[in-house]
Amino acid sequence: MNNLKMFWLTVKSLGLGMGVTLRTMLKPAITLQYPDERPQKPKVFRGFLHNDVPRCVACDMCANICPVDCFKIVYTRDEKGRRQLHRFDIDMVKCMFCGLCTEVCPTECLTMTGGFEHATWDRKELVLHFVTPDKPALPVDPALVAAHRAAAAKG
Amino acid sequence: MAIHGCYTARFPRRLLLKDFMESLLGMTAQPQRLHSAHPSPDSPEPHLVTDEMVLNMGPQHPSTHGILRLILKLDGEVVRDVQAEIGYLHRCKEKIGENLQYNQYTTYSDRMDYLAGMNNNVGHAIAVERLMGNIQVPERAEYIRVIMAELNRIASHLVALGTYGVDIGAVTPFLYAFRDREKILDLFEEVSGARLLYNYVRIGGVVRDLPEGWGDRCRKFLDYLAPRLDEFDTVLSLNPIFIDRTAKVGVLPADVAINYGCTGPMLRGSGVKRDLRKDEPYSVYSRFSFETPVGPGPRGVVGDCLARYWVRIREMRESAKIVRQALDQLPSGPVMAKLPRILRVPPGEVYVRTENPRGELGFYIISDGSPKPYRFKVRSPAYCNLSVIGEISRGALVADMVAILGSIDIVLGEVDR
Ligand code: SF4
Ligand code: SF4
Repeated sequence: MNNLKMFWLTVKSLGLGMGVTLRTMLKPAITLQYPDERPQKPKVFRGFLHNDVPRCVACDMCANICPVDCFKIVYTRDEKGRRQLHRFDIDMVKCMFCGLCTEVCPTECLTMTGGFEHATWDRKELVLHFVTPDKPALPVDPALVAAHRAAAAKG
Repeated sequence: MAIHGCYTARFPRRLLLKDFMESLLGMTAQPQRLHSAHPSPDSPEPHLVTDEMVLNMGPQHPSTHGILRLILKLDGEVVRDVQAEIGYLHRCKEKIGENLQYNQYTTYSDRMDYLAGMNNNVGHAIAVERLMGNIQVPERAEYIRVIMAELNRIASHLVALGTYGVDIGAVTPFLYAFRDREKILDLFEEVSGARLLYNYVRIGGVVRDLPEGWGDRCRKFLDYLAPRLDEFDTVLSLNPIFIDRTAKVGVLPADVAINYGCTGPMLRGSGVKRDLRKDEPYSVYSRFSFETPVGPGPRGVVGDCLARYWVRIREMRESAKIVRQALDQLPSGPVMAKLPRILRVPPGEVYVRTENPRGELGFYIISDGSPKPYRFKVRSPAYCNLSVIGEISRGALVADMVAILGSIDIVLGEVDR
């Protein structure tokens, strides 16, 4: 009786499958209780970007390599020809965490941190301002601060 | 008889316990067709005359693995015609390629087939390297590429098989498959810093060397994987219910497969021994010994769903073999060729194909000498494999549609690009 044989085979394979399930159940659980237990992240984890502004030379390399144009970099040159950074914004809404910008940075001031929990209520909060009038990169003249404020107010 | 016919017309036959018991005890030799293909109005049972019905499967359907709409023409429960409507996930990947520099595009190639990012990275990198002509990729980088591509093939097949189980109605193997895939993703995360969109392979090599002790961890994973695959066979592959659902369903003959341009496990399931890693070895694949599994499966015929599934199952073991060999032979040295920051690509064109988990992934790039490609075209395997669905599902039952679709193993991100 072919059908009875089939029935028996099905029951047998069910038993075998359940055996695997049982063996797995007896193993210790590997689930991480996430907010309480933190996953271990590797050193190269590609999380939120961070710019160590004092080391940034405003070379624009990161902005040129970025495939989605996340950067807004504004700088001027002082009388000695050095670049002065006035604005360094990264739009993390657009960023796809590819890490290309950190690889080209000559001074390695731009790095990817391990941060990934940055949910906000407003998209604007995800635009990171690394240079603000309150903490300028270098001493800058008040006129530029005013200009920056006006630009920021315009969005 | 008339009463019986009326009864089954309103209720799907397989829901009836009575019928189940009948077939179990072998009382009914052959399950009856609900109604003939096109009953004429003047047949003895005119109240059973049915029209063709159009049924939309998708766009939001759990077994389409993305967003795909299948327009089914049904005659009762029999599928008369299938039309696949694609494009819901179109993201202009080719046009973006024409607007970016060559080295910026690697980050987008991940996103085409998001289950096999490393394989796509490798394909794109090889294409641009051939176009540039004079690049010497360091040996170590080539080996690392092979290791990553094969690990990713295992990960991709694990998803394909796990989700196939879910499509058919077995949820447990899915969880096992994902548990094991996580281990591969952990390995990838250590080298690339990301779990899905790796962006690890670059034009001229790979972005960074393997971290300390990675090789040992990879070997440990391979040791862990082999018994898990046996477990997977016990739970799913050799289960008679699963085999009954997939054997002799959606049969794809070899000539049809070739005519439609099917590649990968789809073509191999139909019994054609074609594997670009063996037939046109790229990178350092010629140095490894491995088999090319072909259909049929343990039961059923050449080219059915089970054969395709079975090819994938066996390919995972072959990939594990390749990774082991590559780890043993891994030379030391640099992992990146010396390249200028802005790549100078001479005018010309190139078509490079590599073996993706889903089949032949081709990059066709035309360069006019500027830093950006003039034309960027991707031949995606899932697209060609999906195109054959109308051919293989004609005459199948609606309930088998999911089994057929799952066995093609589409990734809509790649179909639509
Ligand atoms: S990580 Fe990629 S997308 Fe994000 S800012 Fe850097 S280059 Fe742009
Ligand atoms: S590449 Fe580095 S140094 Fe240059 S502008 Fe960007 S962050 Fe500053």
